[in-house]
Parts: sequence; structure tokens; C-alpha cells
Amino acid sequence: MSDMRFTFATVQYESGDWDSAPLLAANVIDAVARYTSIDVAPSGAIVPLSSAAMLRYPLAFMTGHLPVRFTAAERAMLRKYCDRGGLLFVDDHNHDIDGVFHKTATEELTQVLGPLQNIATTHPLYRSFFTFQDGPPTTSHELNGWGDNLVHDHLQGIERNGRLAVIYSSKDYSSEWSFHPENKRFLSVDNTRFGVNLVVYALTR
Amino acid sequence: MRSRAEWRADALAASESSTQDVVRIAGGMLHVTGLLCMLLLAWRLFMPRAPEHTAVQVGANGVLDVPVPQLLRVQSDSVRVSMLAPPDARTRALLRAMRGSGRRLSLSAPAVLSPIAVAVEEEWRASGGTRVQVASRGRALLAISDAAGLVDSLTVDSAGIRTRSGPVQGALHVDARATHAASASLTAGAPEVARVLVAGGVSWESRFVIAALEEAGWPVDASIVLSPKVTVSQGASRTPSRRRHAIVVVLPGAPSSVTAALPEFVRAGGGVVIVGDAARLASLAAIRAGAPGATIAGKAGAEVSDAPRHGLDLVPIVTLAAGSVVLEVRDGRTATAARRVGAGRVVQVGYDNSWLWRMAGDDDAPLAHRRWWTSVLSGVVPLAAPVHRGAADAEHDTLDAAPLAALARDLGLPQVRVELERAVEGRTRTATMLEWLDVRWLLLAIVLSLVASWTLRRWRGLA
Repeated sequence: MSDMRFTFATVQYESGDWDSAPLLAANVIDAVARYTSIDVAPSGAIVPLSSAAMLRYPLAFMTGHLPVRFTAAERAMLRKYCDRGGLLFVDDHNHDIDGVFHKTATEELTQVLGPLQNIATTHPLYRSFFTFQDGPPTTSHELNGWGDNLVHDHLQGIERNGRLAVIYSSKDYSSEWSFHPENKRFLSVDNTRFGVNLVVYALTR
Repeated sequence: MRSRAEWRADALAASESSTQDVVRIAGGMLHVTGLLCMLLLAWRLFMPRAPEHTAVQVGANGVLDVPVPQLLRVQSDSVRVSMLAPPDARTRALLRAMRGSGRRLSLSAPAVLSPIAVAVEEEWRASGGTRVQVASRGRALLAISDAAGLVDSLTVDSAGIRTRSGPVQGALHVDARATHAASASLTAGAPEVARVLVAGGVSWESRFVIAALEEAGWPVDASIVLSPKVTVSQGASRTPSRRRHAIVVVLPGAPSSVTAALPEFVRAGGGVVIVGDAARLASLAAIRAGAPGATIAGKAGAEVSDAPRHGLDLVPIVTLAAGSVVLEVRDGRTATAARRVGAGRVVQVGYDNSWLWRMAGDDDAPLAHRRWWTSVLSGVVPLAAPVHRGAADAEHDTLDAAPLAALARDLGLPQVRVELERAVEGRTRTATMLEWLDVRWLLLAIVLSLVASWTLRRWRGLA
């Protein structure tokens, strides 16, 4: 019997460093299980972008620091994935709009799916479970002296068939959410709550 | 030696004798003619007459080959109707009227007439539309048209066919005139789109069922349970209401506030679709189509095959409730079943995680998934408005949805007789020749022959 529980999937692509945030999945899974009734698999999955297995994970996470160049098979699968209702969440691990990941990843996404647009801070994404009045929550890494040292007010997105198919972040959630899950208890406010919003939005939009 | 006068007298006598012979023979012949005419008159009067009948034919277009006024002037008591195709409604009405007036109708056909039946009904797709169903034993080229013109054409095979067409302008007509004719019309108004409430736990299934229905144009309210204290709702109402909702789709994990209200909702005329494990809910036991069995895994990779639902997990319906009807079977197990509950209807779908079909299926999978869900919902949607059936113009006035069935109902089925019909035609010709020997002509012939015979006898000096 198929395991139809929600499984957090990390996209594996042939260029760059797709596995730069190995602890992120565990923290998002922990938050989803902690706050919701979602039947969630205890461990995430790693899915090659060019594989048909992508279609079994309608929400997928992609990150990296290095330049991104999709293969033809990856481009074709990404287009199919988004057209059928998949949602790809892409986070720039460099949090640098002048960085190589941002430049190459947005170029690839634009080429395959169309231009990125700012997502309004009133978007249902910010109210799908927890409420984030000001839009995407700021990360402690945005002003850490690395990257562009900017607070990014908006996430960006690409719509396909009237639905959000790609969410692109320059906020470096990859660093913010990539810590040992045991350390979450030391946080006064759980910084992975926006991850719950992402998952709930993907499951209910 | 004989004198000249004697020679002349002998010659005169011989001449008179010769004339007498001729007159005698002529008189005899007239006498015999008179007797023959009397015999014929007696035969005509006392022997049984060949039945008088009129033969007409119904052509391939379902219309009689003689004008109606001419047929109405026929004096014969018997009308033999040969049919190449079932008569249209107008012809059938005429024949019924003739039978009602006391004439004996004899129906025959050179071969078994091909049955065809057409049904047109409003389909409750959000985008509107009609569903055309055709049943036929023989092949037929079918043309679907509406007030705006030809909509589609297709060939009906021997197993019958079902097809759909989109929204129509005015009445829809289906014709198979090339072989046999049938037509059904539906005055299609703008259908009131049924609002759907989707209730379930948070899952990819609920997310993609909602997406499929919305993409197909259904207005959807949703009530999705995220946690014991949080339910995400979409639309104005998160509980079933007959004033707002026509259908409720119950997915696994549906909130009890919804499931508890469903028995009353369906008895009041609503439609309910119970999906997968949701059938195990005790609150739905009274309205489900059957008890669910243990979940059976789908065949890996089958979602990209010609039978994509074989790739889905199945919660089979193992014990059908009374009055339930099986709609779909997979590998010998009931996958979908329906039943009526009060004024409403319930469809129980055993398939679980149909979203995999949409996401991982072949190129047509998203469309097929949408259509399949629409067809499931169409099966339970309450008909708020009556479906108006009727012909819209004179041309289609006379066409039937099932011409052969209408013929059987109104007049009976024709007998198939090929050789017999030829024999009947032969007898018909004989009777027609005898009709030439009219009684009046026979009487006249008798009188004339007898008068002539009497005159000749007088002339010969016998009378």
C-alpha cells in the first residue's frame, strides 16, 4: 500500500549544492506534527528533479548556494510538476540578490515557468495557519553581515493555471530552519512556524 | 333437262341455306355467350370474392409513399403496409387512425428493422452541457445538432455509445437518418450550478479534489480539519445546508459537525459522495452504499496505464446496502456504488488518493481526473429544475427517441416476410383482373347476347 502521508521532499538537482540544509526537513516536519493534525511522515524524502517521482510530492523544497543550471529533463519535469498543481518552494541559501544562486535560479525559473512576481503581504500564505501580519517573517540571517545584508519584504512567486506554483525566497530560511531539532526548545518563539504555513497552504489552497 | 327457272330456284335455295347456317351458328354463339355471361354473373355473385386491399409502403425516411389525402380516399377495408424503416410519429398516428376507423392494418417488413434509441439529458457540469446516450444494434452515423447547427458527428457501434457535448443553443437533436432515424430534444436552459461542500482532513486528496472541482467550474465550499482546534473553511458555510449546497463530498477526516448532519441532508434531497475510508464513519453507516472492506493497494505504475484507477488504493464495498447499485467494479471488487436515501442520492467511491492519478498519470490525467470527479458528482446532484423535453420545430416534431419501440407500442412490430409478400402481390393482381368483370357489364352482355340471339332466331323464322 502506498504511503500517502505528507512527506516533506527536498529537490535534488544535478548542478550546485542541493543538500546545503540537511537539517531543515526535520525541523519543518517537527513543526507540522507539533501544531497540526496532518498525517506527516517522520522523515523527509530526497527526490531528483528529473524523476517522475517528483509528481508524488506536490510540495517540494529547493535550496543551494551555487549556480543552478537545470538539465533538459529537469526543466521538462519542473514544467509538468507545476502545471499539474505542484508547489516548489525555492530558498536562496546565500540570501543575496546579487549572488550566483539567485541569479541563476531565478533565470532558470523564469525561462521554464515565467517571470517572478512579488507576493503581497496580504496573501493567504501568511494566514493559512499562523498569522503573519507583515508578510514573510524576517530571519536572523538576513542582517548577519553575509549576503546582501537586506531585509526582504516580499517573497516572490510564479502562478500556473491561476495557482501559485513557485514560491521564491531570498530570506535564507535554509539557514534559519537548519538546526538540530533538539535545540528548538531553546527558542522563545518557534521560528519554523512559517514552515507550517507553507505546508498547510500547499495542502489547502 | 332442268329449266333455267329451276336452276335459279336451286341456287336461291342453296344461298338461303348457307345464310341460314351462318345465322344459326351466330345465334348459337350468342346463345353460348349469354350462357357464359350468366355463369360468370353467378360466379361473381355467389363465389367468395378476393379480399380488397390497398398496399402502401413506408420508405426509409419513415414516410408513406402515397399522399395522405389519397390514402384517406381508399375504400378497401384492408391496408397492407410494407416498411423499410419505422414510420415517423406523424405516419404512425395516421395508421393508428386508420386502424381506429375499422380498417385492418397488416404490417410487414422485408427485414428486421434496426432498433435505435437516443436519450438527451442535462448534465450537471458547472460549465453546463448535455449528455447524449445512444443505443443501437446496428451501426449508425449519428449527427448531433442544435439550433446553431451541427455540433458533432460520430459512429455508433453495435455496443451502443455514450458521448457528451458541451453547452447547446436551444433544443438538441440527434439524427441517424442515414440508416435509421431517431431524435431526442431537450430544451436546455441555463442550468443552475450546484454548490459543493468538500469536507475532510487536510491531505493531498482533499486539496486536489477541491482543485479538480473548481477547475471544472463547480463552486466549492470547503471544511478542512487542520488540527483538533483548527478547521480551515472556504466559502460562507462550513456545515451542509440544503439552501446552499446541492452536494457534499465527504473525505477521510471530515469534521463530525459535517458528517452528523449528512443523513438529514440526503433525506431532504441532497447528494452525498462518500470517499474511501470516510465510509467507516459510524455517522454515515445509515446512508452509505455498503460496508467498506480492508484497503487494497493499487498496482504500482498503473496510473499511467489505460486503466489509471487500478493504480489507486481501493477501499472495496464488500456488503451492499439494500437498494444499492454497483457502478464500477475493479478486479471483481465493488469500487463504486450508489443508492437512494429518502429524496436524495449517495455515491460511495472506494478509491483513495485519486490525486496520484492527476499528478502522476499520463498527459491526459488532469483532464480525465476532473471529468471523472464531475461524473461522480453528476450522479448525485439533485435535479432542482425539471428537464424540459419536447420538439422545438416542425421538422423534428415527427422524430422519436426510440422509433421502433414507439412502433411496437402504437401498432405492433411488423412481420418479416419476403416470399410471402410476393405471393400476396400475385393474388392481388388476380383479384384486380376479376374486378374488370363488373356485374353491370355482365348483365349488359347477357341482355345483348340474348336479344341478338332472339332476333336471329326470329329472322330465321324459328321464333
